[in-house]
This record gives sequence, structure tokens and C-alpha cells, in this order.
Amino acid sequence: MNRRKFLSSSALVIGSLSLGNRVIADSNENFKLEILTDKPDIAIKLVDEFIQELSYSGIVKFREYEFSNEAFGDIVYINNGKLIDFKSGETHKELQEISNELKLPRKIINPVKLSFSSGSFTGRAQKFIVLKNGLVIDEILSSESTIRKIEAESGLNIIEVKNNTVKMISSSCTHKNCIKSGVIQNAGDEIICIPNKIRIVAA
Amino acid sequence: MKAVKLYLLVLFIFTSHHNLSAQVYEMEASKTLMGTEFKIIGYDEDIELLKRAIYFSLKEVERIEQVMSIYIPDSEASIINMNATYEPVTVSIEMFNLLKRSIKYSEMTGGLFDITIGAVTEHWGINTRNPVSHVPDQNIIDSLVSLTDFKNILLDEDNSTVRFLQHGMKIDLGGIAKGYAIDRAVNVMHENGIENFLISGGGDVYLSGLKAGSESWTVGMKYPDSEIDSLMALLVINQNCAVISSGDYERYIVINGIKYHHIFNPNTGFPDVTSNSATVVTSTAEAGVVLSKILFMLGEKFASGSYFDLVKFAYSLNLGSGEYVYDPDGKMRR
Repeated sequence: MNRRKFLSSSALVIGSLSLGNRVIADSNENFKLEILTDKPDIAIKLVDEFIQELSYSGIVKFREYEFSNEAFGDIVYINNGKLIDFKSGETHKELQEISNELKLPRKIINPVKLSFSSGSFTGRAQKFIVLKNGLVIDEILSSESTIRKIEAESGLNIIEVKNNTVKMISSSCTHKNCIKSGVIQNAGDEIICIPNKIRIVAA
Repeated sequence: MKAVKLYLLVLFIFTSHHNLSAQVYEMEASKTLMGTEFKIIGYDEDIELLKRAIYFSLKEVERIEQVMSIYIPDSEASIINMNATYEPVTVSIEMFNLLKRSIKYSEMTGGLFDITIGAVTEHWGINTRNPVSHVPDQNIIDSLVSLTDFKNILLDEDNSTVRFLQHGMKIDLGGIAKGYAIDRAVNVMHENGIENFLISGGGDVYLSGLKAGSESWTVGMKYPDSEIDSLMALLVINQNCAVISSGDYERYIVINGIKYHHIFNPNTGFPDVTSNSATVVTSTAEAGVVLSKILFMLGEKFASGSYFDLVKFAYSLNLGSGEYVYDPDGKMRR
């Protein structure tokens, strides 16, 4: 069975199981691909080829985040709500080739995260990304219930994650616009503290 | 009175069908620059081209900040402020032209736009970490206002120099540089072959081409409320243009329960209270950042200025006394 046929037949099953609130008819309508790598330029080229082959027509959201510490480089591919474990089988040869080329998985210092998702891959955030000066310093699953202190440029920011939402509860900055921006919960929403150069991105 | 804030946001609600033959990448990147969050959202089928364009576009804003910011001690603007009282200061062509355009805007607006307001804004310090803790003495404000007059900037075209004719005067390019930076970033995107994008710096946006490469940009004018998302109006944008707003809610300090915001009237040296919010649509962001403040300060008297042919749309709101709308092309939908 060729890959395209496999995708569409598997998707019919997966589609009926996944993501609840909308009917998924097209096998490629809903995907998310995340790569944590130290070779972003090569990775982008390879993923571009991969997505071209999917024949997806629509918007593919692309985001890039730099990490400021050591992280475990890997590829995560979710298609129609299902995590595809391409490492265990022969399916998704292309993803295996990408991981070989990027020598993943392995530990990487200061990696870059590349995130590709189909336009319909929105809704409630799965996690909250904490960036300082544009660099990722923390990632918190939205399902967690936690309070985190962030050492900022001039003092301290404190965020609270609970009930799949995040808000800034304290900040040493002058205008407190970050606190005033309230609670966020949807993918793509952000809380920004400009004086302290802190960004919280819901993803 | 209930405190309502008006601000602009760009709506990212996708209508569910795209008439696209292939996939189009949407890339979003942002960076804290010029005291605000600069954001670019671009669309193109070529992801590498898109990434390069956005990267260089943000770099260009970063470069302009290094030249124009009075908060960076060795910027060209700071060097002018330090030395131009004593001797003519040689400046870059870019700076020279910006100063020239600033003076042109001052002439057009009868001095309501004036970059020589630097001494006033420095004293209040609203954009800094250490703003004033009490309302400045009227005598001090009067003496600072007397330093504010664009006619005391002497430009020498042949030698590309600038000189101040008044001792102690200072320029603050904050009222124009952000607009200029957005326009430059727009140019970089276009030069790199990207047509469909949005660039925002704080609440100010430039919209180019089509959203997602397939539909008109829509800008929402909104009363944000912690409970309700109440949309006041929509602006439908069918041509490349800037949508710029000035509001008393953007940056302010509170002294004895009274809000002092960052839009200063050069004639009084105090924050202007004519409006709570003002929005203009113009073809360049630079004209937009200048004219949104003029609209803020003039309200309905705005329409009588010689700059008015630069304006495609104008809306100002005073929560006490009402609104002023100029909408010849019917951009606004309520």
C-alpha cells in the first residue's frame, strides 16, 4: 500500500475518534508537526518537501522558537488527533528520513523548535511556552496546576497555570499591562510583559 | 462612568473555506523593539523566502531603533540631543530626511506635532522605568514648553547637519520613528517578494495584500472588557495601508488617582484630554502615527487641517462627549 492510500484509509478510522467538535473528512486536514533541532534550515527544507507530498491545501502555520538550554531533540507528528509513532514501524518513511538526517532523537544544546500545523489545528492550548528575551526558558502543560516564578530583567514575574489557562499574577514592571491582559487559554494567545521582556505563548 | 478601553486588534478568525490550490505557509514572529511588541504575520507558498523576509524585516526595525531611540545613549538621536545646542551635528541621510519630514508635519499641523517636545517628555518620564511621582510644578512645565518649537531646528542640506537654536531643547522621535520603522519593515517584506502580510508595533498595524493570501484584512475596533468581547466596529481593508491608533490607555501613570498618559500637547506640556482614543487609516504608517495623535488632540476639528488629504479614515472617541467619524469609502461596519 502506498503512503497516500495508507494515510487516507487510516485517517477515516482516526478521524472518527479524534478531536471531537468537528467532522474530519479529509485525511490531511488536521496535522501538527514539531521538531526540536539544531539544524533548523535543513529541517525546514525537509518538512516543506514532506508537506508538499501531503498535497495539503490550506494554511500551514509555521512558528519558530529558540531554546536557551539543553533539551531533548525529537520529532512529534500528530495527524487528525493521533500521535504517529513513526519510529516503531515502516509507515512514514519520510519522517524517519527526516529524523535520520537531523540525527534525532538526541540531546541538543540551545535547539530551535519548529512547529508546523494545519490551519484548523487551533482551539484550547495544549501547553504554555515561557520566553525571556525571545528565548524559550520553560514549557508548561496546560493540564498542570502550578505557580512559576520567572527571573526577569528587572525583578520577578509570577505566572499561574490552572484549569488549562494561564495568567500573570505578579510582575515587577511599571505598567502591569501583562497582569491586566488577564487569563489566556486558546492556542495563539499571548501575555507579554514588555519591560521585563517576558512572553507567555499558548500553543 | 464605567472605564471602557478602546483599542485595535486584528481579527484572526478564519472563514472556514480557502480557495487555495496549494498550501500556503503562515509564519508569525515577534520581538520586543522600540518599547513595544513588533509582530509580523506573513503568508507565502515559499517558506524559506517568507522566513528570510520576516527575519530581515525585524532586523530593519532593530537597526532603526538603534539610530532613532533617545533611550539608547549612543544612538544618533541621543548624540544630536547632546551636541546640537553647541555645534552643527553631522547626521546620516536617513536621519536628515526624517528630521526634514518631521518639520514638514509640524508645519502641516500648526506645531501640534513637534519632535522638540523632548525636554517635556523626558521630565515626565512616562516611557521610562522612573516616571515622575508627583504632578510637575506649572513653572517647570512652562519653562520646558518654552523649549518646544520646531522652528529652532536648523537643518543644513548641503552639509547634512542639524543644529538647535535654543539652549536645552531636545528632540524625541518617539512620535514618528515607530511609524517610519513599520514603513521600512514593509519595504523589506516587499523587496523580498512577500505581498501578503501584517506588521504591527503595539496597536499600530500595516496591512499588505490579503489575509492568508485569499481574503480582505479586517481590523476590529473593540471595547475590551474582562467579561465580554464587545466588538464596536470592523474596518474592512481593501488596499495596502496603515491603521494607527492613539489612546490614553496605552501608556500612563497614575498620580493621586488621576491618569497621566503619553500623548502630550506641545502647547501645554500636559497629556491632552480631548479624546480617549483616535484611529486613522493612512497609506504610510509614518503619516498615521503623526496624524492619529493630531486627531486625538483635535477631535472633530481634525478635518480642517491641510494634512487631511493624507487621511482615508478617521475615528475619534471621547467617552464623555461622543465620537467623530470620517469614513468616505465606507470602511467601517458596525
